[in-house]
Amino acid sequence: MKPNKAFFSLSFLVLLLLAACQKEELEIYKDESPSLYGLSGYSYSFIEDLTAQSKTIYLTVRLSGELKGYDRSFKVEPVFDNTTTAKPEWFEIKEGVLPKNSTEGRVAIVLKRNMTVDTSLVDLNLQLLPSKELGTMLGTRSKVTWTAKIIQPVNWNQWLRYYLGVPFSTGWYKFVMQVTGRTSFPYNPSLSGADPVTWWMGAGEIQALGLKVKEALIKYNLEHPNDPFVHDDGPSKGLPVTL
Amino acid sequence: MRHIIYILFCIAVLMGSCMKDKSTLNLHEVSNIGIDTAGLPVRYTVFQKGILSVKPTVTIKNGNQEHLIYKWTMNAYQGYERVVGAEAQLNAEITEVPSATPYKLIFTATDSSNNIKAFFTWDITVISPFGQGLIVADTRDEQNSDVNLIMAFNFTTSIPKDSANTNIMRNAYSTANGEKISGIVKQLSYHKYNSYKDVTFMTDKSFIRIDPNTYQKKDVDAKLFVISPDKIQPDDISTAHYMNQHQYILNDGKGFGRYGDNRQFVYSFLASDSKGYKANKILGLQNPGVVQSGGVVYDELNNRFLLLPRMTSNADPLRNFPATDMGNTATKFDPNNMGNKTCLHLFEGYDSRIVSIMKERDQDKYYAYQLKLVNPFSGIMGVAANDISQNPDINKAKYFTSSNMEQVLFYATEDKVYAMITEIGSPSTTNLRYTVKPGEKITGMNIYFGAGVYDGGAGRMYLPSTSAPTDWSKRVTFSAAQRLVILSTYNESTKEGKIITIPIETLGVGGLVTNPDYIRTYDGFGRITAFGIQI
Repeated sequence: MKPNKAFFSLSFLVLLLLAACQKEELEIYKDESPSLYGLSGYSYSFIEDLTAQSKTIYLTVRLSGELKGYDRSFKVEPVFDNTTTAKPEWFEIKEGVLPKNSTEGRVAIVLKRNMTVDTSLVDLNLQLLPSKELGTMLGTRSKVTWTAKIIQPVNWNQWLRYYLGVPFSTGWYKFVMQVTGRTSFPYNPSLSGADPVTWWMGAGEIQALGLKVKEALIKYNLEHPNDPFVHDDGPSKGLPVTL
Repeated sequence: MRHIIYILFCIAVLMGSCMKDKSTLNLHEVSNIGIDTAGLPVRYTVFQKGILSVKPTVTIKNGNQEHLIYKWTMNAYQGYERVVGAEAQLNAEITEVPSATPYKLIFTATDSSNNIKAFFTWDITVISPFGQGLIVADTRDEQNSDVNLIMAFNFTTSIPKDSANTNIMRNAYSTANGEKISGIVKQLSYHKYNSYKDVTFMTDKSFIRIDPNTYQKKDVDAKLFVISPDKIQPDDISTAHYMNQHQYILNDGKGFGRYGDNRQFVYSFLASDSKGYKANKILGLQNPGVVQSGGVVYDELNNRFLLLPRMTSNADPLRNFPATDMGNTATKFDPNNMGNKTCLHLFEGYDSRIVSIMKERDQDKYYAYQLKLVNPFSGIMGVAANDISQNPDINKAKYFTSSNMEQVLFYATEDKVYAMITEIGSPSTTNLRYTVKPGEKITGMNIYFGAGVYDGGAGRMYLPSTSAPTDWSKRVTFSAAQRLVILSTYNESTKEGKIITIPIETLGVGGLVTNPDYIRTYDGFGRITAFGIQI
């Protein structure tokens, strides 16, 4: 090999190596499109407050993007597709707010009550709307379900009947809830071993609640001598409740 | 020649190996630590907060006594360990929680120069300092109450002789809790089921429950109930501790029951019928046995007695007495219709009968009625009725009690105790049996009940021998259960309260002992407002 050739080859290699030392500008993240994602869903039962005619619930969204030192607003719109059973006048969607310096925003939705809500489950599909300031990405749709329908608790026939009466009827269960101030009675000794978080109520408590209900029923019937408390639906519709 | 020299040299070298090697014997002998426990017991019983002294002798061979270090530890299951001493002999306060399972006391002596150890262990049973006795609630300022425990011959099985053994834990509640009970304790009741124990105190506005092992407050008011009543207004409490231990309380006119080790009352007993009920007095029978009721309440609203449910069925409603068979000569009154009377006192008497002291609401007329619960229920459960309106000082009587051994009713005014024979009917034979010292006033009276069948006996008392009644050395020891009348008294000028115990010498007539040698006094209290046994 001629010295010249070797020299050039070496120089070339050195140059190549030096090229690697060149400062390269890294692409860093730019908040050009802050986006909202993950609109939450909700299920509400008016059983929690049987006297209420409306209930305001809050759905949450999350922000992907930079925090800002001021509140930003966003919008959610109803989607009237074939799985939405709610009518426009049954609910009210407020303007959503993403508070300053927060990655979580919320939007208030007022759920209203009427005959349909009292007797069935009402579904409403919702969608996050993009705006100039806040775009949207994954999880822009969600569903809200509400009802005032009282359904027979899953543990009624197996356990609650011994303390709260048999058979089940909607009016009677409403009475039970009003007297006890409770909307659920998670008593199920055959499942409490496997799932003590769900079925946490003890025998002493359900027994005491049952006695409280019985006392209230006796009082009601004494106060209404010709009009005892009757089942309003179910297999014993029209018959007096007995405990 | 040279060969011979070599050979000899070799032999000399070989012979060198025959020399005894003494190098390996040049060793120190190991030390030998001895723990001599001759004369010491292998197990001890000590009160919690008491001092435990154990004095073994430690010896060391081939070592220096000064190199020994000592360690005493109290040990229990699950790795519990507490160092209680670091000397050759133990003298330590035992703070461990009382337990039926003995603790293990481990003594370790270690030679620090070579880490050689020696051990010895003992079983240590820690017992509560608050043992069997008489719980006494008193007040010194008429605002707040404190609680004391008398452990003495009269009340404590483990104190076999009436000597200087009496031990009074004074102000036990405020010592354990750092404060007194707010208000005046009007009743107290001890409850025990197997290892579960509590004492419930009642003031005018509150229930307070303590752990009798420590006297620390446990539960108050709402905590006693699964569902708290709308209003806490304590009326009465009654505990059956003889067997099948259960407890009844009255709050705001309504009865509640609990059984065994249930800490909470489920719910108030529902009424037996649409008339409802409101009670001031409740009584649970000590041994209801097969009877389908644990006792009775008196319904002030409808002037009738009502039957409590069976002791284990506290969710059941109250029951009416069956229609009374007034044609039967055994029937003395109708528990379903007591007339315009209020119930002043309700307690258990002769033959498990329920004694009720009643008064006409609008007249100064007094009665003692006796109910006997039978199985099955019948129309003849009102078994005795005495009009006691003509009894001496009856309108001043404040305290009533009875022994289940005789058909006698004791009643006490502020300074006198009378015994009335109920067997005979009206008018009855009534005798003055005891008068307190001038200046003292009776603040309470009750018969000593004794422990339950599972609780190992009762306190004791002395009675004069029948053959030589005046000879103290011939005195006879008796179980105090149902034979010892307990009085509490108060002297307004000295501000001192006392517990006075008077044995019944002659059964059948309520003959309290008259020789003062047989009467015991426990003094140094404030005004005593309630007392009861601890088992």
